[in-house]
Amino acid sequence: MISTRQLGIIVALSRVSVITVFLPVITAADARQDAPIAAVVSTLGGVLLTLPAVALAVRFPGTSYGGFARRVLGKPLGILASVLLAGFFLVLVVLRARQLAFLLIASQLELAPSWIFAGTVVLVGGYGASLGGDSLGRMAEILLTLVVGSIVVGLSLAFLSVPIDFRYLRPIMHRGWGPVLYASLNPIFWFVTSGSVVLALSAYCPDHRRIPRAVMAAIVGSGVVLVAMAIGATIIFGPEKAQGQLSPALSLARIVFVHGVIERMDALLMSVWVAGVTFDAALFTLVSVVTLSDATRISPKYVLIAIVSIGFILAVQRFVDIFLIRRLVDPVYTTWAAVLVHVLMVGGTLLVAVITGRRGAGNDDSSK
Amino acid sequence: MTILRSKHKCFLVALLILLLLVNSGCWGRRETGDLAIVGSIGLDLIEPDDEEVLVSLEIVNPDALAVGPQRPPGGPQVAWIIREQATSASNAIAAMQRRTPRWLFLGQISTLVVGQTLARRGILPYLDFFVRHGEFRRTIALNVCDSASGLLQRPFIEELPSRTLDGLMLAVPASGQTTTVDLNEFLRALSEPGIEPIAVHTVGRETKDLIIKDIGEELQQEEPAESRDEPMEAGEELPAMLPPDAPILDPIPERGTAELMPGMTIMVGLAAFRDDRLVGFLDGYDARGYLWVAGRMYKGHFELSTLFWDGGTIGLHLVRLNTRFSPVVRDGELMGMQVSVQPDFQVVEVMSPISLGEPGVIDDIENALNRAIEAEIDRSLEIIRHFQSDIYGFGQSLFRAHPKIWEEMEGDWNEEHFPNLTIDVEVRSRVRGAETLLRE
Repeated sequence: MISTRQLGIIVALSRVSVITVFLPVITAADARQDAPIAAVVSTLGGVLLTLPAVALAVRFPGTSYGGFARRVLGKPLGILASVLLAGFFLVLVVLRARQLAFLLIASQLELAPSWIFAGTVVLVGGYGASLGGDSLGRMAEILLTLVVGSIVVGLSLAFLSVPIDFRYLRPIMHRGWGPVLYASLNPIFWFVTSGSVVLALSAYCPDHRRIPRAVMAAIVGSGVVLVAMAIGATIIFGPEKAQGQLSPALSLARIVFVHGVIERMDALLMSVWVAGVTFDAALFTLVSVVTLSDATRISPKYVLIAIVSIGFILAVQRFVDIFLIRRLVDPVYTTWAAVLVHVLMVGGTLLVAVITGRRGAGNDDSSK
Repeated sequence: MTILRSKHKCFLVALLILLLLVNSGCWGRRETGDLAIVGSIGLDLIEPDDEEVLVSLEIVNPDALAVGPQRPPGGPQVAWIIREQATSASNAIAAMQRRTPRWLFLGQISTLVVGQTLARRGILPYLDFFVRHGEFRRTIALNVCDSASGLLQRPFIEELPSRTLDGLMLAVPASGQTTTVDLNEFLRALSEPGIEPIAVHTVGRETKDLIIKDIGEELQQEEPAESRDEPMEAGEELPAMLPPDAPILDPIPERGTAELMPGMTIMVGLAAFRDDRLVGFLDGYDARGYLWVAGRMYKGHFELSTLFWDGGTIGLHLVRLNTRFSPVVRDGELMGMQVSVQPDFQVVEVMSPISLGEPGVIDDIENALNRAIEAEIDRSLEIIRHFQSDIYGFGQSLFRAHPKIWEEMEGDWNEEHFPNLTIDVEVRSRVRGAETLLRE
C-alpha cells in the first residue's frame, strides 16, 4: 500500500524528471520569452485534463483501469481499452529508454552502443515494477529529494555563474496567445500522462478520497519546477538560444562548476536524470502490468514478463527512434495522443460511468 | 504487494550481474593520465582571405604544476602551444591529435582567443563547434586580440597563459575600463533582437615592468624584452629583444638583477561586433563610456581634475552604479532614448589643497563628475554610432517596451535609426566617504 502523499510524490517525480531535462515548453515550440507563461498554462491544462482520471480513481477505489473498464464498458470493450492504455504506457517506457540512450550518447558516452542503455532501463524498470507500488512509493520519496535538490542547487549556481537579466522575459505575449498555447501542448500531454498513473496506482492507495488533492498538488508542484526551469533557461541563454537547444537543462548544468567541488554539474544532473528516467520506466511498466492484468485476469507475473520482453525488444532497436523520439516531442503528435488516450478513452470511460451510475465496491454508493 | 514475490531475488542477482558487465563505465573511458588537458584555445587567420583557420591549443603539463615533493626536478615545460591550420576548428584539432600522444581533452578550456583578422570576417561558423561539442563549457571567456596564438604565450604571475587569462578575467573589471564576456553572453546577444555582441579586447604589449632575477647585485638589464606597439602577425614568435632605438632602462636605487618583461597580456577594453563580425575597438576611457551606459561597471577608479578650483586631482572609487535606459515614444513614434546613470563614488585620494568639508565642495565635485562622465559617454557614443552597431541594446529596450514599433524599425535599426537616435543622458553622481581619519 502507498499513502496519498507517496502517490503525489510519484506523480510529481515522473513529471519533473521528463519535463525539466527536455523543457518542451521552450524547445518544442516558439513561445520564446513567453515560455514561462506557457509553463503556467500547461500546468493548468494538466490539472484540468487529469480530472477524468482522478475522478475514475476515486469512483472505483481498490482497482485499476483494467478492472473498472470491464465493468463500465463491458468485457470486450473494457479489455480493448485496457490493452490500449497498457500499450500506451509501454510505448512511453520504450520512448523514455530511447531518449535516455540518445542523450547519454550525444552528451557523455559517445562510444557506447545505444541498446545497452535502453535495454538496461527497460530491465531495471521491469524489476522496479515487480517490487510493486509500495517500493516505488518509498523510492520516489528519495529520488524527488535528489532531483529537486539538484535542480535548486544547479539553478542557484547557474544564476551565480553568469550575468542574468530578467528583462529577457519581456515583452510579454506580444504575439498573442497562439505561441503560448502551442508551446503548452506538449507539457500538458506529459502532465496528464503522469497524472493518469493514478488509474493504476489507486489500487495501491487505501485512502482514495484524498487522491485528488495529492495528484493536483503534485501537478501544480511539478508545474512550479517547470516554470522555474523555463525562467532560468530563458534569462540565461536568451529566449531564442534556449529554444534552439536539445536540452536547455543540460546546457544550464554545463555553465555550473565550482573549481575543486563540482567540475561537471551536467554529469551530476545526468546521473540524477538517469535515475528519474529509470523510475519512470518502472512506474509506467507497473501501470501497464496492473492495467492489463486486471483487465485480462492473467497473473501479473506473466504480464510483467511479456511487457518487459516486448519493451526490451523494442527499446534495443534504433529504428524505433524514427517513430518515437521526434514525434513524441512534437506538439501535434502529443496533442493527438492526449486527445485519444486521456480525453476520448479515459474521459469516455468516466462519461459512461457517470451516465450508467456505476461505482466501485469501496464507495459509499457501491450498492447502487 | 510484489509481483515476482518468490523469485525476485534471483532476478535481482541476475540483473545486477548483467548491469555490472555492461554498465561498468568502460564505454568510451579515458583515464586521467591519458589526457592532454587543453587550457585555452586560439583561432586566427594568417591572411584575411585564407580559407583555413589557424587553431592554437595550450596543452597543460599537470606534472610541472605540481607543488611539493611531487614536483619533478629540472623544471619541465608547464605548457606547450600546438598549432594547426585547417578548414574548421574541429578538423584542426583532429589533425593535432595525430601528433599528440594523449587524448586532447577540451573540457577544461576556460578562454577562447580570436585573432582580429578572423573576428573581422565573422566568427559564428567557428563558434558552432564550441556550442555543439559536449565537452565545452558555456562560460568560456571570449577575447579578441591581434594574434590569438601570440597571446597564448604570455604567462604572468601564474605559470600558465590560460590561468593568467582566467585571472585577468576576474581581476581586470576592477579597472573600470573593460568587463568580462563569456561565450554564453556573446551568443545570447547575437541571437536576440536589438543588441549586438561585445568581447574583451586583449593585447600583448611591452611594458616597463621588470622581472627581478636576483637580489643583492647592482640592478642591470640583462635580457631586454621586445618593444612592440604594432599588432603581431598570427603565428609570430616573441623574441626577447629590444629594437635599437628603444629606451634604455634607467638604473633604479635597488640592488638586484632584472630584465624587462616580455610582451604582456593586457585587457585594454572591448571589441564591438555587428552580428558576428568585429567592427571596432573601444579602449580605455572609450570602453568606460560604454560601460557607464550599459551599467556593467562594478568597480573602477575615476580621476577628477580639480584645476578649476585650486589645481590637483581627486581620486574616486566607484562603489555602485545604477543605469537605466528606456525609449521615449510619443504618438506611436520613437522620439529617442532616455538614459539615466547614477554612480556612487568614494573619495580615495585628494591631491589638491581644497577642503572637502567646506560647504558646497561635495556638490561641486558631483557636478564636475556629472559633466566628466557625460563627456565620456558622449565620446564613446559617437564612436559606437560610427560602428553602426547597437551594443548598448537600445533596440532591445525598444523591443521589450514597444514590440510593434520595433518591428517597423528592426530592418534598418543599426544602419539608420541607431546612428541617428536622440539620446538624452542624465548623470547623477553621489560622492560619499569624503571624511578621513586624519584631519584635512
